[in-house]
Amino acid sequence: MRRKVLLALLIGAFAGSFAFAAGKQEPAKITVWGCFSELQAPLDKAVEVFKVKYPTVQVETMVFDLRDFEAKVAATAPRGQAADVIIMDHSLVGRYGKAGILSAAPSDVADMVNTKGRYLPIAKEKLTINGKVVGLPVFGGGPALFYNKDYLAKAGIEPPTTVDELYKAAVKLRQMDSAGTLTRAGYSIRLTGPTGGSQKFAFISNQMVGGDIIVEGKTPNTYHGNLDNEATAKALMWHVNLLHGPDKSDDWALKHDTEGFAAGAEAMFLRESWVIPYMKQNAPNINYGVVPVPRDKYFRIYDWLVSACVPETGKNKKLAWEFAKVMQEKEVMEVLFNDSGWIPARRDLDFSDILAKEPRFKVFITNPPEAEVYFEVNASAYTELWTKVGEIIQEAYRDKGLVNNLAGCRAVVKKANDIANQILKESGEYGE
Amino acid sequence: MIKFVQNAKKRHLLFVLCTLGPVIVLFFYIRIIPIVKTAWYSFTDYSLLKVNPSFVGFHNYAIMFHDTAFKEALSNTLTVTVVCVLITLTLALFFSVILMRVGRASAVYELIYFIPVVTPWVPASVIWRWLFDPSYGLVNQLFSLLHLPPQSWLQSPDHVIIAIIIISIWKTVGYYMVIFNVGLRNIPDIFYEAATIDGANRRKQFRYITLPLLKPIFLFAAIMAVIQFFNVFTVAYVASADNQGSPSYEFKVLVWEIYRNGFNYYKMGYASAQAMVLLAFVLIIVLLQFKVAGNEID
Amino acid sequence: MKSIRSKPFDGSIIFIHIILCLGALCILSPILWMLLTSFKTGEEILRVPPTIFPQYATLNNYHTVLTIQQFPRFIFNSFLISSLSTLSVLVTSIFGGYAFAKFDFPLKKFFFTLILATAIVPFEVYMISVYITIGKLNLYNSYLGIVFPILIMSFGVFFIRQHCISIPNELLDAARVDGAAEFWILKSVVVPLSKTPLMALGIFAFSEAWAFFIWPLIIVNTREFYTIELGLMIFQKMYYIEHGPIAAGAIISIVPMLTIFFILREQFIQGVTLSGMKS
Repeated sequence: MRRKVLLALLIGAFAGSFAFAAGKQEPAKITVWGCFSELQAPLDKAVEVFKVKYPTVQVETMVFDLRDFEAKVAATAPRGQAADVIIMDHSLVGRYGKAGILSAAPSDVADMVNTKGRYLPIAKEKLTINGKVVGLPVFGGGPALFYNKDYLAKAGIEPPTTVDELYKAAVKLRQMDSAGTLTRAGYSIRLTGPTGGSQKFAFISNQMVGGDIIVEGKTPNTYHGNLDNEATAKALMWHVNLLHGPDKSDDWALKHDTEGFAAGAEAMFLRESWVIPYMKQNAPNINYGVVPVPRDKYFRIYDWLVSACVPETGKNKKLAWEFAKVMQEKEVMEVLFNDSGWIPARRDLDFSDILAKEPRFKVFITNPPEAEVYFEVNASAYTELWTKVGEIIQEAYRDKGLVNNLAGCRAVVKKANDIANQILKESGEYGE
Repeated sequence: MIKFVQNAKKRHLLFVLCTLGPVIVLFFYIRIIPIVKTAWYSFTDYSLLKVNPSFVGFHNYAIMFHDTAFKEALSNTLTVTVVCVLITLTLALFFSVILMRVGRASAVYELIYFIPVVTPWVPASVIWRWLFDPSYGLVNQLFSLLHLPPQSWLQSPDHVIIAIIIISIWKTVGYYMVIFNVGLRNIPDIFYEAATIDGANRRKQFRYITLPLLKPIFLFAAIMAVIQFFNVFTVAYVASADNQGSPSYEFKVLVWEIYRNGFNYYKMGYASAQAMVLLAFVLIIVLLQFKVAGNEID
Repeated sequence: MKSIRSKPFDGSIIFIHIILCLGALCILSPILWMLLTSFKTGEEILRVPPTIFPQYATLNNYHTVLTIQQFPRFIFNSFLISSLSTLSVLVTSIFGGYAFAKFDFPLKKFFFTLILATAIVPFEVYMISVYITIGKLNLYNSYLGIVFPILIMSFGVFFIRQHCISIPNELLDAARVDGAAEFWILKSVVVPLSKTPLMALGIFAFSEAWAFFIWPLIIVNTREFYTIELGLMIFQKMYYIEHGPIAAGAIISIVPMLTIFFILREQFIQGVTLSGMKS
């Protein structure tokens, strides 16, 4: 018996080494890395289209989780061991573009980016580093307010348009059982997840502050914290009041985020467009609607840009940029839109058939004209900044003593601000 | 005859060179040089984006004192280690002792309890993550059956540590039970029979025969358990990693901080410093336990 | 008076079985629950209160995982890596263990203490340095790069050394007098006598290599090199959580190790036993 097992192991080892050796001979090949798992379907479509143009070139695609992805790119790109095409979000484009790791796009690609109306105007700004275009936009999309129509109808309220209305609606929509335990969240707050937590806190705070939590300094490529102010403290108090005390409308014990919405455990939450295909597949019975992010003194909507870039040290740059161009084709963009729900970056294409089938997408495509679109800054220390600020905010969420305690909230956001500035000073990017 | 001996010595040395030689070389490349290099990196500001690191002395270690994330990770790691070692070893000992009273069925129980041990950490964590789901998880469903309020488990910092501890105990109790079985079976029956004749009841026998004779194995198990739990990473990373669709409160532990600082923030120098601190802790723990063991054996 | 070892049939034995069975239930039910979940449709999984046995049993989850998600490739990778590591550990351990046990040479104590010292150092302490080294050697995302840190095992060297010490010197000297070469002695005398500890070490090395997670996490860049552990974890991290396929994936990743365990169960337990006795 033992001998058989050992024999099997040996055979496995031999077979494996043969397969490995065999796999080594390849024709021209490019590799593509995507920073999100939803990119798999559109990447597959792009490979199909690419093969028609370049039948002899092999394309290998690979999608990652964002955080694990960052380190791999940083470790491999400077050495020329990264993929030929890397699809990454604008914070990484900024970081690597400034470090000289990304190659400049050929003139036809640069022209695409510079064409008016082809993409959001901010794309050109975010993708031009040191005067050169370094990426081709693929998708983006900001958040909107998802709400459960049945719950709102039963409570007799309209979908909120301001932050105050959101608060009042949250309190009206919550449900408790006889023992006083919350069974349904009126508004689901992002309570976990460092970068996601600070980002979603900022969805609300931006409306009160008129600026993001980290902003650019006067000198280019410098940044500083923007948390130490009354408005941010008020935003924190807004969240804490919904988590403790008489207006409690959310709790750690409830199911959160998209899954919670699909389970009917929450009445409203802020999220991006990818929720729509998810709901279609997993919870088709939930009758929900989408409205723009509620506003306050200001009206600011978050957006981001995921673009295809080509590392400078790559060996197949020309082919890589060709692949990036293929990702722009309408059929690929349609798969992206339909399957993943993310909003294609191309604004000059006609997606009316998709929109006719699912009109809820419209909220994500056209922002109200009075809204100001904002992007997060391109700091190199982005991950650390948003993680550490997020952790402080989430600690604060758990503090009952901050209910209606503006001074206490101010102390917390000041602490977050100090830590943010310290991180920026350490990475050499601090500037007033 | 002398020539034979001299030749033998030469042959022996040649043999050692050909066998142990490559092994030592591998050890140098895979273990020793990396450890030394880590110590060196800990005194620099090596970063993945900055290819030429500069010497910064004890700066990294100084920052650690103020790093709340690191302190939280350290506290979590110590708590998990102490609690898991205590509960796991006690449970393992308990099951091992009562298993002695069971006849041939004990082999079956041994096998069953060992199954989580051969289940790799990743699927084990995935399974338990699903069990701890606040809405659909089996644990909260059982709670509601027993009319207890549902807990937030992996979504709140108070409960995530309990979840991690439960998973760790589930995964390792079988292993230590088998180790204790060895120890218990090695105690000759004669001791117990003599004690019975002398009039000692079961409890006295356990206290005065079983426990003292089990001490060496218990200490060995304790050392293994402490090192194992101190390096906790996979269960924390897989069970409590915050996913986009399914949020969770990330349970900070030492090894994850090293990973995070090195591979998410790219601060390899700082991460190396934290790694040296991890090493220091492990060394202290092992030395302490050897000292205790030394005293006991006397 | 009853000895702690006596096994009469009395009430307490039933009580003990009850406790052990309850324990066994706690031990097995997570895996069983996951198994049941893997055969349910997405909608049935999200039902509250949940059904125990699937009402609409489906093989879809397994189909997704085995075809779309390339799990078979991951399992192959895990087998390859684990086999390579086990082979290397066994060879280096018998070489090192035998040499330390039966030979004298200069600096013997020094080298032995060195290896002893590295035995306690957890891999996570120096993984960053190994990562940088592997990068310079351009071995990212390759089988050699993945298996590099687990080519040797300090514990393995000690374990075999402990065993080799107990081999009588007369046996070896007799062979030498007969004119046997040292390597022949190793191959035909020492190894056959060491079958049991080698088997136990092999199993231990294989399961350690299979469960090796943090290193593939940081070094593997493309799906063709994913191990099953890495594949399962990444599968769980996607935006859309599909519990059915994740359950199927988890069950599939347990099957290889569980199968080996059931075939070689005596050797598994023996391995733990041996390491316990050597303490």
